[in-house]
Amino acid sequence: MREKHNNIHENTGLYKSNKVLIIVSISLIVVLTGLYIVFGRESEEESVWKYQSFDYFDTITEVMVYDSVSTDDEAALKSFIDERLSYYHKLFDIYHTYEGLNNIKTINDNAGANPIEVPEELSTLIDEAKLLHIETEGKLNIALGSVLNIWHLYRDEGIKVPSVGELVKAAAYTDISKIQVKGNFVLINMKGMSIDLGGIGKGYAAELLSQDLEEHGIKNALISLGGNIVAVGDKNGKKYTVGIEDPENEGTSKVILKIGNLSAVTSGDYQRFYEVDGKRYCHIIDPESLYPQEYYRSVTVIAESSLLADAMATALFNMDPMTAYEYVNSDDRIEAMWIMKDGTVNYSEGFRKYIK
Amino acid sequence: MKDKKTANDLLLIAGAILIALIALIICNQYKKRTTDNAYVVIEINGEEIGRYSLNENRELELETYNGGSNIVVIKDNEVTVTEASCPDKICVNHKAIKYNGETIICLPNRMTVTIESAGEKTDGKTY
Repeated sequence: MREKHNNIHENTGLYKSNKVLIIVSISLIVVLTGLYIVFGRESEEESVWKYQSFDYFDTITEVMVYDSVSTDDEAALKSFIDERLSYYHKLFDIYHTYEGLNNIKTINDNAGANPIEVPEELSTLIDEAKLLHIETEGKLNIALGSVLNIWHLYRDEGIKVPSVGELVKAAAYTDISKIQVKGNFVLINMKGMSIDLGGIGKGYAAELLSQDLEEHGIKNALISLGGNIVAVGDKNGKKYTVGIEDPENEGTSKVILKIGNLSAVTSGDYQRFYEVDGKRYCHIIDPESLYPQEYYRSVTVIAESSLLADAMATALFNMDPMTAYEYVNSDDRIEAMWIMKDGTVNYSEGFRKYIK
Repeated sequence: MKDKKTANDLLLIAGAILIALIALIICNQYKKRTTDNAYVVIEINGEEIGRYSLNENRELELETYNGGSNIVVIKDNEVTVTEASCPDKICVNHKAIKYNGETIICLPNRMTVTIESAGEKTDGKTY
């Protein structure tokens, strides 16, 4: 009897000290979790260092760096990014020539005449674009310069829409197989043809810049080249949050993504367009119909390569919904999301796993 | 005896988890109510006349309905009406607003000041 009694006393004592321990530890967990949620996350939102420029590709470029950058390195990093962006801007420029640099305009000016030796970045891009033209069955065509020039003129005036006859005539000069790449030499083998990198230039520049940053020792950064997003690494171990803009309500996000080491690019009808008789004509021209397609408000593509994401966002914008949906599901390099005219959202089979 | 102890333990743990959950929910609510990335929307007689960031300090002298006037001050993520031409001064006496959906109304001058969320803040945006 006595032994048993003692036993109970011991147990109760142990039980009491356990109780205190549990209460203290749980209170601590609660308080710390609360503090972390309220304050911890807020401070992590901030990037360590931010670059911003309005000077390139007719858009805003931002680079948020999440590695620590010393004050001395800030100026060097800024001029490094400026120098790279300025170079890509000049290389893809269709309006200006630059001394000592053969760019798109040099190639275009020599159409039907001379092969031009260009930097490797450019010959690689043109090669890739030729492949993408085949893969997308013509829905992406960098040889559309003659047609786009007509649209540019009409859009600047903003009064009329080009006639079918006018566009069809120009379309005789859009055969991409006439663009020949041999090593770093590029020749457009037909006078009157020209290259326009509209559908892929910014994505490719963002891709190249991300590689430059990595070579410069940056491990974690978020690049936005006019909405072409490249997520390099992550943000203090967490993925980046990227909003897909709501075309009906610019400035707010329709869907929020969580991505790391991926690119997200959107093609939409709401950024650059003009209106004739209340009808909207956006800047993306379907290489087949030669007019803007009206299936979607926007298409967002996620891919490892920002060039591919940009190219596919453009190509998918030009495809009808069934074709586009099947195309994305058969290509395991890409996922896509469409915002339809009525504001509803459609996803490819694997897209949802990137939604926050 | 032993059974009772286990039951008490379970009760204690369940209680602690419940407290933790409630604390989490409260913290989350608090976070939702924080004021990052919000707009101060000002309407006069039902028409929006301005939309300003809650995070930028400014003082707005407004000509309101029927010759009235109000002064709205956005300061340190809070909004107050500091002056009003109307006699009742309800809006001036209203406490500062800072959370989504909160409103100050000046009925005689038909002015409403509302805080609206601009959506969740993200690291980047694709458009």
